[in-house]
Amino acid sequence: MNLEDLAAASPDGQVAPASLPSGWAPSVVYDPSGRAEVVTLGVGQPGDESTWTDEVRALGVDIPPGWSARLVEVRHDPKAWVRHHQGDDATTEAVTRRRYVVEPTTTTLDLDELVAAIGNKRPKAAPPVALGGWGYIHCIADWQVGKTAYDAGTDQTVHRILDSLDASVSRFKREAKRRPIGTVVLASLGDLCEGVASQNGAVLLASDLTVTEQLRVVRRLLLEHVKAFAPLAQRIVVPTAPGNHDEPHRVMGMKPRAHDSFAVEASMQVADALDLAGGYDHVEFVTPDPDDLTVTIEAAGTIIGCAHGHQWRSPDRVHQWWAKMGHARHRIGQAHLLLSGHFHHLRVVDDSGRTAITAPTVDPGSPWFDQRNGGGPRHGVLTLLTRDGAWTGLEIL
Amino acid sequence: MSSLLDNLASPDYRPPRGPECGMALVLAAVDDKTRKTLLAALDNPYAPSTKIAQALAELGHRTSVHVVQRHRRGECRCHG
Repeated sequence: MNLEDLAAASPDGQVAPASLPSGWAPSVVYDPSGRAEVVTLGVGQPGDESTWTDEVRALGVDIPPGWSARLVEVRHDPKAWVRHHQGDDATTEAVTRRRYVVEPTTTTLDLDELVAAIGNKRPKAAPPVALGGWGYIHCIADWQVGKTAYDAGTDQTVHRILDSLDASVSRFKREAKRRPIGTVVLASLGDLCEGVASQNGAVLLASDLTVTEQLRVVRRLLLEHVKAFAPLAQRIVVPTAPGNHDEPHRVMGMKPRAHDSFAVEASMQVADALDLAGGYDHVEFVTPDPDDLTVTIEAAGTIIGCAHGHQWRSPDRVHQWWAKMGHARHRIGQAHLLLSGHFHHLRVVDDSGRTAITAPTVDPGSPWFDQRNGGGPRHGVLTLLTRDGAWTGLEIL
Repeated sequence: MSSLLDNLASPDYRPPRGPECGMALVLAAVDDKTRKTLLAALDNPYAPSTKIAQALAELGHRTSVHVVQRHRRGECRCHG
């Protein structure tokens, strides 16, 4: 055969591609479960179901009792290149390629028996409603109720908080249509009131509310948050971390005990109110242990640590502090996610598969910070979703 | 910038490898008519590589079937 013949060669000229279609070489492949896949060639059409096992056995494949061959795919090739015996010339003829699976014989159920068994079933008490697999986190951080700046004050702050709450509820409803959300975490991250402790008490001079008025506003805002989300999820968790502005005093220049906090007290007051009102058994308030500045909870398979952030002083040192907590076997050391406030701007730092997220604020702003740094952060309420140690969908509302 | 650096900076750069493809040597040596026919045979999936190698041997070009197959698979230097 010269080059001209080869250039013009066609299937009709008895020269066909030497290779079989991919995956269709006659073969028997076993997998560890004992299941086998058999590919074979044959002329004509395959027989009915009763013949499949015998056809495969005829190839020399051992099919033990309780197993059978099932024909799963057939391909017909009208012009296949076939060599019937070693040394023979290849010929072109029609073949069917058949793929069988050897598998355990399916047990046939007796439908009458099955229906009778269903009829005998005694009803059981309805199980509790299953929790959705996802958690929705709404961060409550650095409200600093009572603070004034740029000719704005508590009035503007409260409107921002309530607008963000409305937006967060809307977002929750949207997300709940896309994934099952069983838990809402209202993470109270400290500095909810402007207070009286910071700046040696001078902060009170610029506040537009007295301390007790600040606490009243904080309590009622917190109550609104719980009331807004309570009808929407099977579980509401309100972990509360104390902030530096929440410290009730610094008598003689000394800090109070860590858990001595207006933010913690506001949560406990709301918890008491809901207990009296009734119908809020699915709402959990989690406050710090004595002398602890943190709380650590579990929600939707994620361990969430909450801290205000003043204990690590610089936002760059969050993971350093967190690692020390782990070294000390503090419960927050095992968290997947660390939520904090204090620094008033969004910051997400991932390290070793653990994510520290600092929430932005909704306060009127800080001329002091802006004069030093050229501008303030984007204000808003941080929301995100979590499940099984991971998080997604971070949005500032 | 040197041409070497130009080459290294190019995402398409592949370092030179191996000797010249035997099929390229044959294609360069034959006349235009034979080259055209040979290229048609190489492109024809119904022309076995063994037969092409035999046909070339009859024309005086000793080229193994492996060279023909490698060239047809695009794994030789002709294809970069």
